[in-house]
Amino acid sequence: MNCRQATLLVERKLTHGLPFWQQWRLRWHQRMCAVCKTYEQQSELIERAMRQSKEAVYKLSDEQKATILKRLKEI
Amino acid sequence: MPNTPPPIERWLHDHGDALFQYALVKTNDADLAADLVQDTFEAVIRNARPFEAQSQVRTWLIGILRHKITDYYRQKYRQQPLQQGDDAQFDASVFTPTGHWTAESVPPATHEEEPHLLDNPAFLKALALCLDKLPALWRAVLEGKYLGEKESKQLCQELQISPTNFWQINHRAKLNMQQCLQQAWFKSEGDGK
Repeated sequence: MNCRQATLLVERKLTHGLPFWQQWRLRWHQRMCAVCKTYEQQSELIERAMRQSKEAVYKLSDEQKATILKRLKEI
Repeated sequence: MPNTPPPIERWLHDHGDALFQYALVKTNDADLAADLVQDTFEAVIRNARPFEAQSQVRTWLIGILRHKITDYYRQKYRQQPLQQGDDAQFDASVFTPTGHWTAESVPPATHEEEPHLLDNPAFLKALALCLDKLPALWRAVLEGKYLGEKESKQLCQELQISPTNFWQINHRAKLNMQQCLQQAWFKSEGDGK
């Protein structure tokens, strides 16, 4: 397995998980290739950061609500 | 009570934030999300039907909002197909023909995550800048993973990409993000301290 294939497996692992055999192949590759190990850590970090920004709580500001109400009254 | 107008002001107060949050997660654009909330209420006013069971109001409103979001994406992707990334060029910049990291792209051999990194505004800004640099199609795919399963299938259809294609693009988009952050953040992470 080369690094291109290993990084593809990393992405599949982070999204769905991998079947046992592929998990083993990825680990085997990463035992010899520290760089692909780092890639997994960084990719997982990016995943967490993106998910977090999706889970943050956002609210409409009072001005936004007022604008919406005003426009709705014009209908 | 067939002619009672819907209590829009109260609904906006009670459910506006939840609708906004929903729309923002799906569109990643605060102004657009606010507009979609407004469109939702506009739809409610235009074919006003009284609502009796309070507990279902939010579900009902979200249902309308979801249609508005789908309409938005449908229109957007019809008008202008999303910018494609240059796959071959990108692949060649990251991997050699035998599939190993190129000298310029190779990640460092160790990665140490600083504590509270995900609360660090500078890091989050770097992440947002890298997202902005992605070709639009790649970004849509990457962010599509955080939509619900239903919306994510819909997105694949709207974008006219097969599931296999979806995963290939996801792989490239993620590599691109990692490479971008490597330049913008990881590289200097250890230097400044």
